[in-house]
Amino acid sequence: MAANIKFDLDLCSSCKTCVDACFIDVIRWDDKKEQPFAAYPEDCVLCLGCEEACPAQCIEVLPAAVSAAPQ
Amino acid sequence: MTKLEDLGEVISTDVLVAGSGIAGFPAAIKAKETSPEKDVLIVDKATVGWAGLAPKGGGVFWCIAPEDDLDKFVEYHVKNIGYYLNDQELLYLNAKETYGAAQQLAEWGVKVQRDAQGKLLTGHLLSSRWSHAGADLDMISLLSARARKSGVKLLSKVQIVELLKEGNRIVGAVGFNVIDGRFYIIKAKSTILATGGLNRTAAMFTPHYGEGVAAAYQAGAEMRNAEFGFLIHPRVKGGGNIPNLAFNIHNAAGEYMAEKYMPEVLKEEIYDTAILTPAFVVGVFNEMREGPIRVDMSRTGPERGGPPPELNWNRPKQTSYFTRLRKLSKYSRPAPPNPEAEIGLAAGCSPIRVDHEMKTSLEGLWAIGDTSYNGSAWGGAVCMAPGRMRGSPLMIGLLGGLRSGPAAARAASQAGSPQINYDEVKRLKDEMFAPLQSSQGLLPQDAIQELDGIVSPVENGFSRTKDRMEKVLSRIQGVRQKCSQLYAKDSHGLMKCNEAKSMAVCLEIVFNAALARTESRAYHYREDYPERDDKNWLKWIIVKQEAGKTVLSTEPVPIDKYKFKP
Repeated sequence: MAANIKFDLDLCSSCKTCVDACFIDVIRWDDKKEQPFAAYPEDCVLCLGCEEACPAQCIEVLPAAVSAAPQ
Repeated sequence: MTKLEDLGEVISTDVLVAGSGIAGFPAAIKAKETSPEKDVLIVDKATVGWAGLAPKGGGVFWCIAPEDDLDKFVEYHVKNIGYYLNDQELLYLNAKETYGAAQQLAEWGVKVQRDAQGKLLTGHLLSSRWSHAGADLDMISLLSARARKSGVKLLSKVQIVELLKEGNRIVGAVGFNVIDGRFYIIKAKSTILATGGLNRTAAMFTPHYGEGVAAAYQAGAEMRNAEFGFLIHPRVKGGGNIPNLAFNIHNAAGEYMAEKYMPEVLKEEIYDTAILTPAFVVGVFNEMREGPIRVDMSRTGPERGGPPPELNWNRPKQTSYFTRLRKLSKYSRPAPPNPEAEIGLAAGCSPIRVDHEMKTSLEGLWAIGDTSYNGSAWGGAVCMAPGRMRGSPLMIGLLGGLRSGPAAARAASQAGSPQINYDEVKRLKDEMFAPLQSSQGLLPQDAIQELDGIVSPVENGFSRTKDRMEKVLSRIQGVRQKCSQLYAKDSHGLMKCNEAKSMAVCLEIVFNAALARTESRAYHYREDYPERDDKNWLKWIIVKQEAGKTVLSTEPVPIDKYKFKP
């Protein structure tokens, strides 16, 4: 599986919850930019745990081949 | 002079718990609360408090309620689920302790569902024979908070790779931090494995490749009931699931498979989609050879399964999460009106042999949850969790944790300080980090895909013959050998390398055991031995590794001392 993981960094509160919630180490924390990033999107299993856990609801996980959610 | 500290970070603890799910936390908390003077450390490759299956797929657990008939439940299980390969004493013990275990969860702060009077809410969710209780998906974060409060130490993002031995005794483990690659040497007087089994049912819920099982096997621990590990289930052809599909598939003549092949289950009012009997799956498999099996979408209604109205489940986190997951269906092709079904399977392996306190055959080592779901033999000849009873993995994890924690803490009082051999740790470290030394070779993700490809075809994983299994085993061993060529770019890749190697070891255990069992029982279906053979095979197959070689033996099930006999 693989995913297209999008972060709306304008909404992100830098709480790092998404890094904790990702149980397979796909999401990492960029110390310099102080923001999350998808380090290993090719290993994402689309559990949506990060989306669910994010207090700011600023993450969207899509299957790799999908760039935007259908309306 | 060489010292361990030169190799990596050295931690000493009385009790090490590897894995922080529904088994690991109860073990750690109970160890600390019964022996407050002991140091207890819980380690996970994920973030402690977010790991395991329970925060995603959990929430409903098996429970024998006061109104359930314990004897009738055990009898039903032994005859119709475990097929007489149960350790019936452990089955009784587990069943008796479920209700109290659920209450213990509540005492620790987990929001276990209660009725209006505050009593534990149980009900016949999927079965007339046994009950379920419920909790929300935040149970692991609540247990994590309780563990912290109790004084348990937590270590996140460290993957345990190998166990340390002093003679025949386990004295801790080594692993590495999956973020920064730091090497850890954890000395422990008692070690509890709670890292899950190999579970390829749903990658989105279970990141488990049998790392703990492989580590225990390579340390010499005995494995039991490994041949039954694979989960067999009908699904939409080509992949995909429809709720309650198994109860609604029919052949070209319009015969419904559940009614034709497992009427006795329907008569019992059991609508657990995990319950599928061997006669059902073999029947569907054979009918598929005659023509397509299809799903009657008009019957896929809530009348089969789902909480009965008297169970007012109030689990907002579970509702929210599963609502979110449904968005994924937007990206898949819609099912046709009358979709074709097929037999699918998922590789699984949870065979570490344990006694009633969850102690393995090695001194200093306990194994709980899905590491020993099969190996404890409580469930008999069942597939990996859920073992033909939904909700049982959570409860079995919890029960194992409650028993192993105090036992491991007590044993730590008797044990001397671990003596760790520097050269041995150095060797393990070099081996562990070898994939980082290469710039090319086999990617772990490709090894995992290859292993899935070998065992996933039904003719390889489910409908077994000696010839086919020998070929499958040979191919698995081929991948295992190729694992010496694994390469990783960083510590994340190194984690995947250990997962791939562990999966190969687990599959080798499964097929070695499956080759030895020359009969059909449960989901171990042999085309060349299609009948169950109680005369010769009321035996457990034990697999272990000695001096790098696989050693198989059998052990009679002590059926004479058990209540229920064939």
